[in-house]
Amino acid sequence: MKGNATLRRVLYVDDEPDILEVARLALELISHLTVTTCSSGREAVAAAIAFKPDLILLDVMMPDMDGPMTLAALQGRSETATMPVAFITATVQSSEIERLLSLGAIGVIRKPFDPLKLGDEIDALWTKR
Amino acid sequence: MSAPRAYTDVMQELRSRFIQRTIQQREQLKTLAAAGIAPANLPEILHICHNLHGTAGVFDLAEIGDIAHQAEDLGKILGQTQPPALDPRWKELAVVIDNLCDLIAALPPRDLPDQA
Repeated sequence: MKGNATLRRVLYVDDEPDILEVARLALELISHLTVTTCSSGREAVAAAIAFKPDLILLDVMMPDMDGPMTLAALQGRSETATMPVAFITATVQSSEIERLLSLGAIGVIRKPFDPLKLGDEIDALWTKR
Repeated sequence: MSAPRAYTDVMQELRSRFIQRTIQQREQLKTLAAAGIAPANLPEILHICHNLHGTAGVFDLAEIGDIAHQAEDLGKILGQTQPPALDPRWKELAVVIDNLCDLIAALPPRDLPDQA
């Protein structure tokens, strides 16, 4: 079931600070979204509960708690279980993309992404979910 | 799509900072390579290459991202295989790391952070 008709609030989780800043910059200034970021899966669960994003962007390869583990943690909490999640990954293998989608993600964004098109890309995923 | 001035200004700063960090990572790679590309330092090599693979292209440094990708893929395979003495691909990884370092060293002056 869809929530808001328009994508407004995005939580971006990535352990690479450069990527976090570029994504925030692009999504805020180009796509006029409200963005919050955090740098680990552990922070992500608390951030999702507090921020109530329309969409969570989750890096796959993070130390300690990776993207799939973070998604499982989100799915295990009633407050966050239905929040749409899209993975972001540098992986290009189709088998890995299929595995990520099978975990319940609404899509997979490839790294490196084009910052100017990131907003359109996530909006398309969010709209068709 | 033309980006607003506020975006391009900040993006330029972020790019400059990324390049600064990439130059530092090159030094790390050179140190690791000098010690010998081996299983013991593979996790650190993979970490640096993964970071460059995912990030360089965002800052219009796709060639660096591509070589880092090549090194990351090769490193992942070698992480599950035999020790350097038994697998010639370790030497191949050393060559790729060397190429990556050369590429970073050859960044044109306009791409380097302002030293002032």
